[in-house]
Amino acid sequence: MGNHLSIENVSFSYGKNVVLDNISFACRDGITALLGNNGAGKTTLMNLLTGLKKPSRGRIMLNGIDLLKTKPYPIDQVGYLPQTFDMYGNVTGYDLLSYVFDLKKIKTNKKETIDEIVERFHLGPVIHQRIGKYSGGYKRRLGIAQAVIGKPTLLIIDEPTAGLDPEERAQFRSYLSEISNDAITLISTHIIEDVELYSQQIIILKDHSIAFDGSVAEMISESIPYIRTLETDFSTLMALRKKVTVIEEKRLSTDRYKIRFIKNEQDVADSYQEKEISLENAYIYFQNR
Amino acid sequence: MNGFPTFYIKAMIKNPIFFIYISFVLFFVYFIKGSLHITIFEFVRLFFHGYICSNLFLLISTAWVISKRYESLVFLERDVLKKQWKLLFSAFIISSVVALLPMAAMLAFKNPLTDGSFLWKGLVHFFILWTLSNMLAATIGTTIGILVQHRASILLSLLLYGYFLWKSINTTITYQQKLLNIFDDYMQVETNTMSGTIFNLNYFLDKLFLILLMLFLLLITYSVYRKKKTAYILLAVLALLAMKGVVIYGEKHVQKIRAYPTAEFAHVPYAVQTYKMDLALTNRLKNTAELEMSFSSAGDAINLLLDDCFTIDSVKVNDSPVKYSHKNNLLKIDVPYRPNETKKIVVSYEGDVQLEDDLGVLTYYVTNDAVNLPGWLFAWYPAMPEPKPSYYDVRLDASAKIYSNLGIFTGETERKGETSSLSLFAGQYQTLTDNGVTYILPIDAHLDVFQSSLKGLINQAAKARHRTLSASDLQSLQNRAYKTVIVGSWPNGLDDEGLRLVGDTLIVNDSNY
Repeated sequence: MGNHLSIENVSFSYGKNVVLDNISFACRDGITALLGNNGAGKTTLMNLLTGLKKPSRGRIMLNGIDLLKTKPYPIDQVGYLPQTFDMYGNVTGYDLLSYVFDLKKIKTNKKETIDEIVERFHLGPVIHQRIGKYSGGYKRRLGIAQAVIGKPTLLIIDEPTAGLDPEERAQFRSYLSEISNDAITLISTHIIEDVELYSQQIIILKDHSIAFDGSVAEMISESIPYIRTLETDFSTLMALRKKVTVIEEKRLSTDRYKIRFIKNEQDVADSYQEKEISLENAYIYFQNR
Repeated sequence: MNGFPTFYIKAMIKNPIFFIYISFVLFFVYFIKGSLHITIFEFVRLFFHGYICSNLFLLISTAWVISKRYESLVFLERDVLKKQWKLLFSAFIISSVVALLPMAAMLAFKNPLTDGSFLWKGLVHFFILWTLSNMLAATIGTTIGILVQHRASILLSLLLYGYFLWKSINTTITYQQKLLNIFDDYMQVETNTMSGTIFNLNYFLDKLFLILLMLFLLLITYSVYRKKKTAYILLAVLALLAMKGVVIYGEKHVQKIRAYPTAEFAHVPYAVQTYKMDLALTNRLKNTAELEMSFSSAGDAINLLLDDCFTIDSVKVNDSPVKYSHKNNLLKIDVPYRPNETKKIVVSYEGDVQLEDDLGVLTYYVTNDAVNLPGWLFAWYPAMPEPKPSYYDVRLDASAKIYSNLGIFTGETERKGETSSLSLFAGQYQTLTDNGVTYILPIDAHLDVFQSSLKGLINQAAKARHRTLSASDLQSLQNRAYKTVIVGSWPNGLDDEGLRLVGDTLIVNDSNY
């Protein structure tokens, strides 16, 4: 059956400044990537999902339970990893996991649960060290460990791989894939490469609303007809920049460029539609259409 | 364990400041350990650097911990006020555990003459001072931390705490300023060794004031973070009013030593021939004093001194109730008398005896285990100033061992004898004998030092131009014609050389020797 999250007609404003305007979407177990430029409302949406902010209208249902009306907020069912996960530097990772275990009022054996989490996220070498001594990678692992303790049905993760080196990012992606098997995992990110690798659903926020809601394949297929490719010289490229939105440039030789741009009403001579485009191209298309 | 704030205790203590704090506490314990040979109360009084050190640690650590708003904890904890309570609980646990260090020192190095009840009182008194000042510091730290949510909260907390510290170390004696002292009220004023700390109404009002102050600070955070802001603001105002109420109530109930109307007694034509007392000393004094009075000329009222701290139940003359008034420490009995007549006057009265001198130091007191009633100065029974010798028949019931110029009372005892006044003392005393003289001295006194000091006092009195001691008394003192010496306590501004010879008992003022 799996888990089900639905955001229904949710709006949020700071005074007269609308941040989210009547947005609705639904997700199931697996990774849902939340994309959008800065200021699109991603963080606000995360805050609404975590119950730290209240929407002006709409509701958020998790497995039939209204998250916003449930008192107290069900922290045992929701895990949250903020973008900047930080903690008192003088406590150990074990201290933190133990505290989170207590806060979530988890019924399982504490030591076994924490040991299992420590092993799962390879925190063994540092778990009894002060968090202040952790590297960025270990800190991020501890962050995800505290979020998944108690096996929540909804995981909200803000910029999970930001600041990690490529090896750590790859490792983290595998953690996310693993934990999203039986939990709705909503990830806010700027890193399109990550999204392409692990997301089964993408939601793009633009101008306070949802610009796209679908899979990676759907996002690409929807944008392919609007993205054109052209091989040209430098002077033509400069002229084209004033007419269309160029989304990718590749220098082929001294005065030859292969560019991709978003098609507008006027077609550009010699341009053509490619069979494949990157997810990043598609994302830029949705942000600019 | 759910509910036990292990996480925050660790967050507070796993840092170098905690070890500096513990080191300082141990240093101060070591530094003033010698004061335990005087009394535990002296140690508690002198340990204020330790309190300040502990307060600062808890203030800084709670302000630091609560001002850090980690998003993942904000999400999990939800309620910052619950976090504040967790931190206060953590502070209480840390405070209580660290308190064991000075308390252990108190037990290990205490004056061996310390009686069990005084030991417990000393430990409890220390724990109360330590805990309340620590909890106030933690409340200031968490409140400012919550409101400011920035590192600057540490500085602001220090400023607010600094205000109370300044009030505490200032030698001010108004009642309100004493309430603002977060440590021992007698931190700057040396009290007598015998009484120890007295858990009286003032003591509890003093602590209630601090608790209300903490409540006020907590209600401010509630008024900011809870929906019913108006209700919490009103409660905060109520807490403030209650603090003011404590000041008013306390000021009204403080018993101060007031001058007696001795002018009323110029050439009175009567004298007390015998006193018969049925006296009970618990935390208050209850007495039925039967006076046999003789009269040398006629009159229509008898004046006797009796302190206003007592409430009179009845006055009977020759077994019949009579009209009387009792104000300004003067008992006026409306009864006519004729020359050469004798009358039996029975006065039943009781009251709390907790009289403070001008500096706010408790001077005359009656508690279960400490008594200081110098009879020639303090009218604890109906008497006249500078009385002539009378015959006393006193039955006394008290839980403490009572030393007097009529002998020692233990439990329910009756003592008789002729004396000009009856003085009663109890507390932290030791009894020593030397050359047939019994010395009843504070537990910290050394006999040889005391004797040398006494000799100096007598020599000084002999050289003084104006002295209250009569020539015959001075002669008796110089000839060591006394059998008992008791150290008592009375205001040392009375210009009385700190010595009083009552029959064969010499009473020495604690602050003079």
